[in-house]
Amino acid sequence: MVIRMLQDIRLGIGFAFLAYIVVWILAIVIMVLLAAILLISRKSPDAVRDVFRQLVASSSSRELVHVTDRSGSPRMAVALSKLRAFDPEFDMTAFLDGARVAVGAYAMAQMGRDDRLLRRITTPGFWQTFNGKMINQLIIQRDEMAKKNPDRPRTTFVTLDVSWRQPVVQEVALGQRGEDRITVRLASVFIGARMPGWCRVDSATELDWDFVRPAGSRTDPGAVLQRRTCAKCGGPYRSEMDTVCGYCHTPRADAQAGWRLDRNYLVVQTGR
Amino acid sequence: MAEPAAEPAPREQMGCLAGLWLMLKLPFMFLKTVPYFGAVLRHEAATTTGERAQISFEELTPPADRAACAAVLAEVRSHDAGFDLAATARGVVRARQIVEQARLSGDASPARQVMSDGLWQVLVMILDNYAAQNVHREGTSTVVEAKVVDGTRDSLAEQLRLRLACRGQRCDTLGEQLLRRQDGEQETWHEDWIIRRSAAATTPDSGGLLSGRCPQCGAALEVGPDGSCGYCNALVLTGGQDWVVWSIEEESW
Repeated sequence: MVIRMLQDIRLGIGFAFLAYIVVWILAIVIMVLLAAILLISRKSPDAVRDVFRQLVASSSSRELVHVTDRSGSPRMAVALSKLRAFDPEFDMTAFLDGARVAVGAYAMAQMGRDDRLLRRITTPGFWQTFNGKMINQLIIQRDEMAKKNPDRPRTTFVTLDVSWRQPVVQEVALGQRGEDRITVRLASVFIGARMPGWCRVDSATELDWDFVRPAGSRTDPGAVLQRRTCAKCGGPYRSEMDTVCGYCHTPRADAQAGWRLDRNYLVVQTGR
Repeated sequence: MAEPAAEPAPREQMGCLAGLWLMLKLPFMFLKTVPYFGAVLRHEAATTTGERAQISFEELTPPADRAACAAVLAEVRSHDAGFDLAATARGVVRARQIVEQARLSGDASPARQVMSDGLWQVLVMILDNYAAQNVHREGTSTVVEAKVVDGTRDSLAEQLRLRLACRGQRCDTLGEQLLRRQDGEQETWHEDWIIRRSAAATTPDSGGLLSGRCPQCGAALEVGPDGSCGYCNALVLTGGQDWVVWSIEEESW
């Protein structure tokens, strides 16, 4: 009986080992597949890369990815002049400036540094989108990591510069589902250095950013700029990221003249 | 006297166990990435990296046709008789000195008075990031030439792109480690500084923001914490009344 039991244990160990080998094989297949994707995406000629982009674009949901060949929207100019007619104080310069802050706040949150500003300038709906959930996940991971290894260096990646090129208003939709919506397209350029050896890492990602405000809102010219002192007690905020006054704990007022980031989409350029 | 014998290294034993544990977990960690496969693919398709990114996105925008640029400048002059291109270019060079000083000191406050509100907030984020990662900017540079290479004007706003040729040297360091360096002692490098204002704005008699004056009351500019002039309380950083530095684009370095 003992021998039988030993045989069963040996068989069990054999099966567990076999299962572990299968898991390893699956993991290696996944890693090879990822490496192949990165190789195709980053190292292959433009024609091959374009096929890759088209394949990804055609298999992705329009809720996540916008596909474009860089043509503009003729309806946009008409809608924009309608917006100006209804809201004469609407200032495109200030709006695009605010859009840039939103993108910066998103980048800061995405790098796992700070998500407070992003939380202040987004709609609740943003956090239900794929990208919103991803940011949430990153912040949770950052906090868990900090708890596990409080002394661990925070990163092996240094951001040297972030800039936003070619901002273009793509779409203006007024009064649809009770809100005004403006879509801005821009390229986020990240310049960084990574360990080991602090070699340069540059990347540029194009995204469409949807900003919304309740339909019928009008711009308050006095609220275009982000306030840096508390409206209640006059105390200065310590950081752009502060969400409440450090002195009287009053919540910080809305910025961006009422426009909030509602969702963003990756933009896949095909045919170039 | 003999040195006391070294203690056995429990950390090493733990390290060995931890290594074994890691090996055991490793394939499962790889498998955990499967749900994110779609996101990785989409991000790769939308992102340009390395040299491609430098060529497609970090190179400066090619100069516009000279005639088109001259036409925009003529339009600006036609509605703003006080517009002086040379004075505006001097103002941008002054703005660059202020922003460069802010980058060197790691304190964004002085740059507030010349940058649009959003651009300034982004500078604050970048400098905060530098401080958090202990990265420092060093070096000095001067502008040896400034010329308008593009201009646009529509019913809402007008915008000029000034290309600055700079000479000197600058570098970003992390402690003793050099992260990037631009040596322009022999050859110049270029930066585009884009200034923007409302289409209805005209040059103030005082010279305006880029000369360090409030466009509303003409007082020496002291921007309050809410972005308004310390004397007349006019909101001066929206581009509604005068040029503000709206964007800075640098060649890859």
